[in-house]
Amino acid sequence: MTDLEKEKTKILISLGIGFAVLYVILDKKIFIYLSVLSVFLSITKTKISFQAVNYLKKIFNFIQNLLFGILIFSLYFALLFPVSFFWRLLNKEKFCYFLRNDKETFLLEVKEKINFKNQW
Amino acid sequence: MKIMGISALYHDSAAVLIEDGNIIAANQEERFTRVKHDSSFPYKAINACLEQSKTGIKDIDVFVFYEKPYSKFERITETIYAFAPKGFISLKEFVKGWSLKKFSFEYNLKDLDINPKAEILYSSHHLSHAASAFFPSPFEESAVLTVDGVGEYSTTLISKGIKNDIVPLKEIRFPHSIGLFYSAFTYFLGFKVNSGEYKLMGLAPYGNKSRRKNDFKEKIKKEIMDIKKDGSIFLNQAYFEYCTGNKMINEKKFFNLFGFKKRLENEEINQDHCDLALAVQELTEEVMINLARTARDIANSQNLCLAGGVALNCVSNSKILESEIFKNIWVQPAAGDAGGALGAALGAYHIHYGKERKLTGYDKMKGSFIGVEFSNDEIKKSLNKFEAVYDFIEYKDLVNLTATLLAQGNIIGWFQGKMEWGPRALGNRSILADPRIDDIQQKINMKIKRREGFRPFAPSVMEEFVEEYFYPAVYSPYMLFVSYFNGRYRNILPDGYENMGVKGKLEFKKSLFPAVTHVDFSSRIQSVNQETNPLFYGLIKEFYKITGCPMILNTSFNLRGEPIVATPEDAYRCFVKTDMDYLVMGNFFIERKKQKYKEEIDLDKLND
Repeated sequence: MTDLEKEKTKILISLGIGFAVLYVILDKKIFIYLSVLSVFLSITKTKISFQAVNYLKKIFNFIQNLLFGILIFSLYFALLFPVSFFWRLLNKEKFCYFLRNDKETFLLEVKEKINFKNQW
Repeated sequence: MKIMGISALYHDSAAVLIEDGNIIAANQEERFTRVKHDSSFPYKAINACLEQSKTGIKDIDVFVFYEKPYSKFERITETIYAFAPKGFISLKEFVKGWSLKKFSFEYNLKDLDINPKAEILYSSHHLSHAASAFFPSPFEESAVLTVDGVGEYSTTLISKGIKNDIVPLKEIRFPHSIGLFYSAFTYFLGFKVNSGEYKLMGLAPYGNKSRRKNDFKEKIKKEIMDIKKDGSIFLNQAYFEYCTGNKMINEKKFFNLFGFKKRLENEEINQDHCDLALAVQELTEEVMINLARTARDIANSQNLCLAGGVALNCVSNSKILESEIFKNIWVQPAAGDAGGALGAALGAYHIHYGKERKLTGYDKMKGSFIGVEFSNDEIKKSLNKFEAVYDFIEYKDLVNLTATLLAQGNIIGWFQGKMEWGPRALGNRSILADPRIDDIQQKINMKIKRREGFRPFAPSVMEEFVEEYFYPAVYSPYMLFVSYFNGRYRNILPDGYENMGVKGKLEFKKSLFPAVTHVDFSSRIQSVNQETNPLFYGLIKEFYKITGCPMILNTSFNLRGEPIVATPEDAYRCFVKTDMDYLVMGNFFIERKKQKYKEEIDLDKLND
């Protein structure tokens, strides 16, 4: 098997798994068909051009990015955005330091003590 | 006690090995991966340090990471809270780039088969910088000023160093950062953030001290950056997007304020760009001088140690020196994030373990020659692999031959001894030339380094001649200060010099040493002393005997966009790809004309 064929097989197997995951998440039959197709192509070593594999990969990446965007968007507006209001209320000083030019100095006393033990 | 300091996962990854407080080896990952400012975990740099010191990984007692990942994570989260609902893009990019490898120091260490009893410690970003500046310095006590983009929360830290301790006193916190301010304008002027900042610094002297420049300064002060008397700053976030998006600035707002668009990378540089660069540089200097004054007042010291990316701004360092706020200034040669690895290791040794600091009156950087080294046998092996044609010459004759060839106008690659630590080539991985030749700056910029024509070169000067040629006569072994050519070596500027534009100013012969004289007669000098680098000093001395000129042009041995060469293979490859005339590696003398491989050859294939 040439390097190119090996690479193609690798991509097709990854796509097979990826589409199967999408099927589980979205419950749309199209993804299980695409998954089976990818695995079938990789197993049977059907002569498929690298370009075709790339198109399949592009479709997968597009759906993945879209889902990722929706997920982050939901996380942001459902969780972080509401939490930010509480954060602002509880950390008024920090919030003002970020955005308001209302002080004579922006130099702050260093309160934290030096420690090498923890990651905070 | 053997301690390994590591900086990684942001930019400029590096590893440093110290033993009982002495620096044994220090290497940057980029030099081995050949990816400039490489941020990946520095496995190769760690191996290089171990091989260099003939130490096994299991012999390392302590590993120290240069910052605190959870604190950094907390700062990013708080930024999202503070800017909600604007920070969606920033969050998306952050989550996209997230991986365990990127955030866990311990997870990365697992691949190294370290001693299970080895301790794992975490310094903090600015403490690492401060430690890298103070502990190797020659001072018993000192004010320490560290300024960069951002660490965990701090963007600037003022500390006091005393014996084996550092006491952090005051800080400026994110998002108000002089480093990010400078990077934002680096971006606006068409250079890359985190690597093009020194281009902005190099462009600034082409700016005119005109009304236009003053207008820019006023606009910046009024709209973008409020500079307080103590050097602290407030950055108006309406003009920036580094908190909320994936860009540095709000381009539309910048356009409305300055009247021109962001410069594209290959777009021609015009006078507006130069004037704005000068305005930004002058404001940065103003902030740094104010901060230095505050540091002196609160730390009550005559000495100053500097580190952090902004401390690589040699023009601003020189302004602090000229202002005489401090009697003595010492700057860490690897002032950027790579230097954090050194600071983390030294900080753990002296602060965490409370070990004594021994002072010798000199700094502990060994001239910054603490990187990898190759023997003549290793160099020969590499050259044979490339089927290179070479001669073996004893050092005495080699120095004489090289100096003679330099005096004849040749450009020579010079690869000797231990690699430099930090971004400057100081005479062990350098490209050398005669600074008196008119067109050598253009030739090296265009044909050798293939970089922007406006960028200046630095001279390496025999230490005892600095006073004769430059004012102020600064001791600058690491190229971290600028000085100006004395009047008698300058040429008189023609009428209308200010209006000659970038090309006109560049082409005008400004001094007897045009290749190393910037448009304002400044020069980023390296004062070379015999004890620190006898071979390089010997070469300049030989050049002086032949020509009467006690300096040579010294620029880093690399191509544009590539890191400085580390190995003989890198050096030979770079040599063949460019128009360098000769290459001197160890005792080997290589003439370009005799080489089998000349141009356009894929030398990478010969690497295996």
